[in-house]
Amino acid sequence: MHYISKLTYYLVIILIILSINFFLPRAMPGDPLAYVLGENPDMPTRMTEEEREMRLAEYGLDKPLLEQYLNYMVGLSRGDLGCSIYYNTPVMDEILVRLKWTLLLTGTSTVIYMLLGIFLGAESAWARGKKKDTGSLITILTVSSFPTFFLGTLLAIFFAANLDLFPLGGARIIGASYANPFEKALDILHHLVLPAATLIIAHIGGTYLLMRNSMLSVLGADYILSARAKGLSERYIMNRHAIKNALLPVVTMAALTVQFMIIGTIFVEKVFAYPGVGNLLYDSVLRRDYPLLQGIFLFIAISVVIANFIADMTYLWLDPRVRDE
Amino acid sequence: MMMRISDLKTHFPTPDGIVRAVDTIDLSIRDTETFGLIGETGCGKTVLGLTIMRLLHPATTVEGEIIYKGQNLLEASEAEMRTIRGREIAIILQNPTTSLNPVMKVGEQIAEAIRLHQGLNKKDAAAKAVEMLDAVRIPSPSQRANEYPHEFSGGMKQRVMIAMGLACNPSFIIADEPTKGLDVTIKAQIVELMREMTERKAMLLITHDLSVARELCDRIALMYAGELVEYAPLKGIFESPLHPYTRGFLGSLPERGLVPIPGMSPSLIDFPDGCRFHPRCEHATEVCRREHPELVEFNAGHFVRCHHARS
Ligand SMILES: Nc1ncnc2c1ncn2[C@@H]1O[C@H](COP(=O)(O)OP(=O)(O)O)[C@@H](O)[C@H]1O
Ligand code: SF4
Ligand SMILES: [Mg+2]
Repeated sequence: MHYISKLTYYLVIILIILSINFFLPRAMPGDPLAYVLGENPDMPTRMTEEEREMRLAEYGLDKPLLEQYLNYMVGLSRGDLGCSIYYNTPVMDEILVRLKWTLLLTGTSTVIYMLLGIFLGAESAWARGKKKDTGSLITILTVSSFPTFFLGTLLAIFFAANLDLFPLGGARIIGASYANPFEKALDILHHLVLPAATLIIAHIGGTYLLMRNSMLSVLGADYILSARAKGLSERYIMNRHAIKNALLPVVTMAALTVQFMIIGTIFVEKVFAYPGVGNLLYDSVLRRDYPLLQGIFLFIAISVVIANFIADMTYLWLDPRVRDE
Repeated sequence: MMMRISDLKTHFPTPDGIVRAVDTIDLSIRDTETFGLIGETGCGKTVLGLTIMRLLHPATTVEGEIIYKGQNLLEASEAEMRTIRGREIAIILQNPTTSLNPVMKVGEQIAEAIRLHQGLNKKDAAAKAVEMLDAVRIPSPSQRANEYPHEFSGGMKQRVMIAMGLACNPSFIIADEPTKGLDVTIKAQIVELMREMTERKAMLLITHDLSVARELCDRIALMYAGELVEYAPLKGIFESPLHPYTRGFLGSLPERGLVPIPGMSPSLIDFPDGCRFHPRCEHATEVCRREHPELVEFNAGHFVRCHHARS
């Protein structure tokens, strides 16, 4: 029951986002045409009255607002996000060809940095005060305090330019023909290592630290004493009693920090010339490709909602108390 | 003799000084008796229980002897202790609400100890856990076993704690304030349950509720500022209390007018010189302020720590 009401809640949120995406540009001051045409406000395009009307009709901007809205929604349901000014191709197509790379990059990085952060945080708490704990605490906090852009550049210079262990950029060798799927996967992985490592290192600190502290406070809880009183081993108590409780704040934080992951992805894709949506966003800002930008923002907003949905579901799954509220 | 504790001291080093939570305790508990340990909050009762279980932080200083079935628990290895905890000696911790893991099913919290100590497989241990829930009179036990602690009322959680403690049939039970915070009816039910379930076991019952102690205990000890000030068979305590603190405690029983003992219990870092109770004692004299009284046998089996003990 809880899951269904959550799902409804998130569907409503997505609907609201889609509507904002429609109304916001129309509510902005200035000529809507300038917006869809990606004009530089300092050098407005000269147009006759006729040309203007033709253009407005072309974009459906002459119709009543409600009709425009309905058209927009119908268009969305067919995957129509308008046309890119720069590429002169459907926005949806431009995003979709890049989306798989971004999903691969952020997906892998998120899974790894979360799991690794949780694992190292738990291990650190377990060895509280010992060398292993202090060592990982200092190392992780130091490396993850570098800004993403700087860290990415550093890794690129060192591991790609100097040591030549990994490619400098891209997602695969362009125009390569592979003998088998395995070779292709290997090439993709080879290209993925540095950008993913950058994202992982840049984000692991928060998860690690939160997990460590959360674990430390859980280890002092009465129910842990209870578990010890049963004669259970410390390892068992850690795995079966402590971790699940300690994860709760980590899951909450993961949901609250998706936006940092998205920003990080933009920088990393830029540094490593990774052909993803982040890179496209960066370029589109410079090119004033508003329709494309709007489409990307829509995808970002939806992915934030989906990430929150996943976090919520995980929380529900972990904590029976919330389930029954 | 099930357990003999001698010269036991438990001290916590803290930034403010050494907290002498247990200082010094001697007592013996017989094979099937229920021994009541009574005292105001903060006098060291829980710490004594945790010291016996060896569940305190390693930085804690513990001295003396705790002989259980001929073995000194203070010299047992951690691995040995793990085979004793839950199987030989069980503790029913105070505060069921925080002592049950909120994200683990109640049945599983009972079954895990059974799996560990009795080597049953998952399924049999789960069945045994349901039996335990049934034994502590939890209605529809097989369904309740699959529920989480927050779905249980205070009294029901206390029953779960009892089931958890008794699951592996220990010979010695430490029950820490098992009736705290329960209303009168529920309290009476829990007392009845405890009586029944610990019939042929030794139990150290920690409580500050004299009416519960009167229902369950064979002998009672009063603890004040880390030490025992009086202990005797039940009758001795209720009919001829010797120590002013004991008399004060009896005076705080509902039928005797709920008169609280005046003053506050002392800090366990700096005890008053002489008798630790003297700042609150109406009978205190010069010698009480100067000399720490010894625990002496005033009548047969009736011990008291007071310069002016009288019946
Ligand atoms: N780990 C600890 N470190 C320092 N002091 C402690 C610790 N545990 C308990 N104490 C102190 O020991 C005293 C006795 O506590 P406790 O045994 O819990 O009292 P109670 O008789 O109410 O059960 C209290 O003053 C408490 O603050
Ligand atoms: S020794 Fe003195 S102060 Fe202490 S309880 Fe006895 S009479 Fe009171
Ligand atoms: Mg206590």
